[in-house]
Amino acid sequence: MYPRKFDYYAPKTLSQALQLISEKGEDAKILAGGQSLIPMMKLRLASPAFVVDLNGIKELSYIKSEGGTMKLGSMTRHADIEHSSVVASKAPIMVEAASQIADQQVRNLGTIGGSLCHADPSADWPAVVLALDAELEAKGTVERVIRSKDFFKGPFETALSQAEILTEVRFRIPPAKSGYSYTKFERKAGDFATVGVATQLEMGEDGTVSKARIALTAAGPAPFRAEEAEKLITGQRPTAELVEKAAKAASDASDPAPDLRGSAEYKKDMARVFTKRSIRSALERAGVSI
Amino acid sequence: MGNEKTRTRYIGRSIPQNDSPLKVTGTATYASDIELPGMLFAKLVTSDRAHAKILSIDTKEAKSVPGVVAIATGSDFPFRIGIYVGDRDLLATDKVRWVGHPVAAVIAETLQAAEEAAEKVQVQYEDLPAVFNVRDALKPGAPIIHEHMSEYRVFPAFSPVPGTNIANKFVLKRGDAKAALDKAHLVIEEEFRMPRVSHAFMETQTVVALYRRDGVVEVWSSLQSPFAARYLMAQSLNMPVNNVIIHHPFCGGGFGGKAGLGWEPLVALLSKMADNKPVKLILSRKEQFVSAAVREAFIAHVKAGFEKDGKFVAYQADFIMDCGGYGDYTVNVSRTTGYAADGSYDIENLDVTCRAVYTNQVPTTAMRGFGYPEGHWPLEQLLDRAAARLHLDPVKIRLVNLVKPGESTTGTGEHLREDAGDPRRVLSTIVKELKPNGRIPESKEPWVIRARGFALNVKGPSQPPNASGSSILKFNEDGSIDLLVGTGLFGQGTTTALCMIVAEEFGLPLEKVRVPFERGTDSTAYTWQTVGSRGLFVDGNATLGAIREAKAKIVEISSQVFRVPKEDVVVRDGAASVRGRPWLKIPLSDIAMAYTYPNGNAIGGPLIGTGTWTSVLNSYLNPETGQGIPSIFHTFGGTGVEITLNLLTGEICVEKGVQVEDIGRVINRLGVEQQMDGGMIMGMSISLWEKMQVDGQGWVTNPNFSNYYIARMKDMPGEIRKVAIETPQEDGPWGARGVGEMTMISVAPAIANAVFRATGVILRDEPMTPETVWLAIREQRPDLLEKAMKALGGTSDTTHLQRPLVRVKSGQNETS
Amino acid sequence: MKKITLNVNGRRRTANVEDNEILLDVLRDTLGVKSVKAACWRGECGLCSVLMYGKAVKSCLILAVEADGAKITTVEGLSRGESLSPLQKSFVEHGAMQCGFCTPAFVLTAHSLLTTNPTATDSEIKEYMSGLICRCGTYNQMLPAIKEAAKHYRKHASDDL
Repeated sequence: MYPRKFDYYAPKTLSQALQLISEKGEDAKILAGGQSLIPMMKLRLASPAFVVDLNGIKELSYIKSEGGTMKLGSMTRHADIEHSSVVASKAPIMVEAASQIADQQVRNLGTIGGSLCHADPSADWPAVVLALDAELEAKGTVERVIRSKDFFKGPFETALSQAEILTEVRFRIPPAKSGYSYTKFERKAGDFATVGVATQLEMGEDGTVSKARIALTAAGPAPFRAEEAEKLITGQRPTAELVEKAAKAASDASDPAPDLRGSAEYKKDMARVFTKRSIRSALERAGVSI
Repeated sequence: MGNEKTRTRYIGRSIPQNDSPLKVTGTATYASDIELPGMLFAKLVTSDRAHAKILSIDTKEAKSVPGVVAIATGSDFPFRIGIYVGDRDLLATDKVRWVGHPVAAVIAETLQAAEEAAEKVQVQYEDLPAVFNVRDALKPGAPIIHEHMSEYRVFPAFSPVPGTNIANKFVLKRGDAKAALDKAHLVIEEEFRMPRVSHAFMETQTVVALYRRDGVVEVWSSLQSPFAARYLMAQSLNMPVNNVIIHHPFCGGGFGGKAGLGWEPLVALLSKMADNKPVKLILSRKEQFVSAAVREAFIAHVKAGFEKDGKFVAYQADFIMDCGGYGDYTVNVSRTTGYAADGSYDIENLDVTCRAVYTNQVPTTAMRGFGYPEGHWPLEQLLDRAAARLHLDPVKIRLVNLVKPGESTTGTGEHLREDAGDPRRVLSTIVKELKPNGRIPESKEPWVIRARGFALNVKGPSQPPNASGSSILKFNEDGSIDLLVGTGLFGQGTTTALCMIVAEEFGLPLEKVRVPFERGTDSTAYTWQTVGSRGLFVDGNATLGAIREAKAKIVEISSQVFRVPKEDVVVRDGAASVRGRPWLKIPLSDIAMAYTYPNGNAIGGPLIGTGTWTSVLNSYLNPETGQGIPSIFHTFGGTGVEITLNLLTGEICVEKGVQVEDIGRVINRLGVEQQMDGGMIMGMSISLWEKMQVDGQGWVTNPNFSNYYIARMKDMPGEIRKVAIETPQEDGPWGARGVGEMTMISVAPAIANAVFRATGVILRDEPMTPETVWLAIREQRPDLLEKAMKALGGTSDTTHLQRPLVRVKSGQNETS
Repeated sequence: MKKITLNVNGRRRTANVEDNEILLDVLRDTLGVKSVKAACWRGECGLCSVLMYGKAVKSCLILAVEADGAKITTVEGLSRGESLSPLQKSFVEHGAMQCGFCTPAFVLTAHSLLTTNPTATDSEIKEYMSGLICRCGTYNQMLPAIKEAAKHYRKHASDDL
C-alpha cells in the first residue's frame, strides 16, 4: 500500500521549514509524527506533491517549566509527555490524556503539535488544551499566539494558515489547589473517543470552585468548552445536584454526529455521563468530596 | 493400542507446538514471505457498485503505467468455482454482485506499479436494482442475483432453487411441531440476529502461483486445506489433479475463512498470462473485508414449546442466512445450522427450515464452528427464558432436556453412542466452576451489575460423508520418523498432537518424530480438508493405522530375528523385544532400513507404515426430513461467564470465563488450553464488538481494525477456568474428540443469559455493543436505570479512572 | 531514488528508495527482514512493529526516507543461532502462540516494555501490548510468558547497577 508519489524534504531548522512551505504552498503537507498523515496518504485522503518532515528540527521538541508557565515544543511526542516527571507534577491532566491516546507504538511517534493541527474532532489533545486554556504559538511570516479557544474551527480545520507552523503549546501551570481529569469513553481500548471530557478546576479558600474549565471532544464538529456547565459550578460549593446539572448543560451543548461510534442520542447521553464523571473525579483530586 | 488408561510418556502432557522456535524468531516462512525469481505482483480492481451490469472495461491508461505486464478481466476466465455450489466467478463476468466484487486484476513488475495501474482501470456500469437483506431477496419480484443458477455445478447434498435467490434450502423434521406447540404449556416466539463478521486472520489471503511451462501449476498459498484446494482448482482449470501442486507454508490464521478454494486459480491463470512468470497476490485488509468471503449474517425466527416441568417439546425455527454475492460454503452453513438446531437437547418435535439466500452484499463462507454458533445463539437463550417463565433454574431445565448418550437419538435420528460424551458432567462442572446460583458479590457501584450466565454446546465436524484422511509414517536410518499427514497447520497444533501419539506408541523421544512444517500436495498424505475440528480425529485415526502397519512389519522382522512367535514380540521404548526375555532386544534404528545379521545378510527394508480413515456410518441426509447421520463425533461442552454490566453506558465486561469440553481424551493439554482460551477471547470479541457495518448502498463502512474491533490483550477476562472432561470415545485416537471450534460457540449466549438473568433484559442481536445494550435497558427496564441514576446522586462514579499508567523511563527532551 | 542507510540489528544496510516508499516494505522486500509482518498496512494491528532507536513504532506508518540513519531492531536481533532469548524461550514454554503470525511483533514489543520496565504489573503489560492484535487469542498464554521472562530482565537490570 503506497502513498502517491511526492517529493520529500527534511529541513534541519524551523526557518528552512517555513521557507519550504511558503514556496510549495497548497501542494505541501507537513509531516510531524505521521501517525495520521501516512494512513491518509495511503488511503488517498491526502495526496500532497511535497512532504515537509519536521522530525529533524530539534528545536521543536522540548518540555519546559518556566516561571509558572509550562511550555511544550510542538514536536514533543505523546510518549515523552506521558512519561515526563515534570508534566506529571505540573500538569497531570496531560499525562492522563497522553496515556489514553491510541497505543504505545503510536504514542512513541505521534506529536502533540501534529495532533492539534490535524484537528480530528475526536482527538484527545484538543479538549485538554482547551481545559488548560493553553496558548498556541505559530510561526509563519510573522509569529502569533492563538488562544486554544480560537484555534479549532471545525472538523480537521484550524486557525492556522498553510504557511504557518505550530511551534509551541504553553499554559499557566494550575495552582496547587486544583483538580483535573481527562475522562475518555472509548468503544474499545485504543480507539478514538466516543466522547472525551477534560476538566480543570481551581478551588478557592472558601471551598467554592474559583475557576472551572470543561472541554469536550467528539461531541460536536469541533472540540468545545462547555461554558454553561463551567458557569454553573464556578463560585459555587459543589454538590451532587450541581454536578448533575453541569453535566446536563454540557450534554445540551453537545452536537455529536452519528457515526460508527454511536448514534447522536447515545453520544449525547454519554456526554452527560462522562462529564459528570470527569467533574467528580476532578473534584476528588482537588480534595473535595461531595 | 488406543484407549487404555495407562501411564503415558506424552499423551495428556503439555507440549509446546514443535514449530514454536521458528515462530518466536521470526523465521517461520508464511506465504506472504515467499519470493520467487522474476516474481510479478497482482492487484485487484473491485466494484464500487452493489449490483450492476458491466458495460465496458477500459484498461488503456492503466496499461501505460511503467512496469505493467498484463491486465485480466472476467472474460479471460469463463468458468465458475465453489466447493458446494459453483456460483463464483474469479473476476466478474457479466455483472457485479456486490461492492468489492473483483472486476479486473493488474499484473506488474512491482506492487507499486500494480497499485497505481489498478487505480486507472475504468469500468462503465449500468446499475441494476440491488437487494441488501434476505427478507427482501425472498420477496416475489426481487432482483435475481444469479440468473443462471440452473447451470451451476451443485454437490449432491444441496438444493438451490433456480429462478429465486435461494442458494440452498434445508429442512429438519421430526414429529409434529405444530401440533405440539398448540398443546404446549408455554410457547416463546422470538427473533434473533447476527451480523456479518470477519475472520480477521492476521495474514490476509496470499497466493504465489507459477504456471510452469510443462503445464504443471505450483501454488504457495495461505490456506487451510491444500488437498481440497488442489482438487477444486484442477476441476475448475480442467487439469489432471496431479498437475496442480499446492505448497502449504506456515499460515497466519484461518478460522474457516481459508477453507475450500480461494484465489489460487485466479493467480495461477495470471501467471499463465504473464508468460509463465510467478505472480503474487496479497489481499489488502480492506479487500479481505469486502472482496473475500466473511461469516454470514442471519435472522432466526423461532418458536419454542415447553411443558410445565420444563420439558422442551417442540421447536420451530426458520433461519435465513445471508450468502451475499455467492454462496460457496454458506450453503453448508445453512445445512449444518438446520441439522444441529436442537443442540444438546432431546426435543421430540422439530420443524426447522434453513435457507441460504443471495443478496448484493459481501459473500460469506465457513467460520469456526459454523452452523453451531448460529443455532446456539437462539437455543440457549430460549432455555433460560423458559426457565424464568416456568420458575425453574437454568441448570434444572437443562437437566430435564439434555440428551442421554446410549439412549437418545439426535434430531437427525442418529442413535447417540454410549461413549459419545457426558453432557451432564459438563453441566455439573460448569455449575461447580461458575456457581451460577451462588452469591454474587454486590458491586460497590449501584449502576454496575455483576451477573453470571452459562450456555451449553455440542458440535461435530460438518463434512461430506465420504471425507477421508490418510497418513504415511517413514522411518529414517536412526529410527527417527517423518510423519506425512495432509492436515493443514494454522495454529491449532494438530501435527504436534499427532507426533505425540506416534512417539507414545513407539516409545520414542518426541524430537525423533516430525511432521514437516511446509508441505506440498505432491509430497504428503491426503486428507480432505482441515476444517470442522476433524484433524486430530481423522488424521489421528489414519496415523494409528500407519502405526499399526509399521508395528506389524517390525514384529514380523523381529520374530524372524529372535526366532520367536510374533505374539511374543513387543514394540516399546524405541525397540522391539521379546516378552519375558528383555535381553532379546533390537533398537528400531537397527530395523529401520533393513535388519542386518552379523554375517551381512539383511532382511526387511526401509520401514514405512500407511493408514487411512473413512467414516463408515455417515450418509447424506434425507432431503425432505434431514434425517441421517451427519457427524463423525459430537463434542459436548459449555461456557460460563461472570460479567459486569454498566447500566449507564451499556458496557459489558467479561470478568471471568469458564470453559468445559468433553473431548474424550486430552492428547496435548497445552493445545487444549490454547483452544479454550482462544475460543473464549475470540467468542467474546465477536459477541461484544464485531460487526461489519453496511450503509444503504451496500458499502461496508468499517473495513479496517480502527472501526472493526477485535479483542486486545487488555480486553481479556481476568480469569479463564478450563476443564477438559475425558469420556473416551472408542473409535477416537486414544479416545479423543475434536475441540478447536467448540470453545467459541457458547460464549455469546452465555453472556446474553447473564444479562437476562440479572436484569430480565433480552438481547436479540449480536454484537452486544454498549449502545445496543444501553438501548435495550432503556426500552425494557427503564426502572433499573432510574434506580441507578438516583443512586448516583450521592455516590461517586469514577472507578474507571483507576486505569494504570505504564511506567517506562521518563522522556528524554524534558528540562525544568 | 534516494540512498538510505539503516542499522538493522547491528548491521549496516543500505537501500535505494523512492520518497513514497514505506519502511515496512523496504525492510521486508528490499532488505529481506521477514519477521516484520504486514497485516493491516495502516497502523491498526501493530504486527509491523520494530524498535527504532529502541522505541516500539509501527513501520507501516513511517516513510523509508524518514528512517534514514536509524537504528532498527527486529526480533531477528534478539537471539543468535539456536539459542533463544529468555523472552522467546518463555513464549515457547508457555505456548504463547498459535498461528504465529503476530508472534515476532509481540515478542519484540514485550522486549521493549521489559527493557524499560522490568517490574511491569499485569495491567501495565496488558496496556502496553494492546497496540497489537492476536486473532488466535493467545493473550492468556502471553501474559504469564511475559511475566516469567521479566525475571531475567530484572536480573539483568540489577546486574547493571
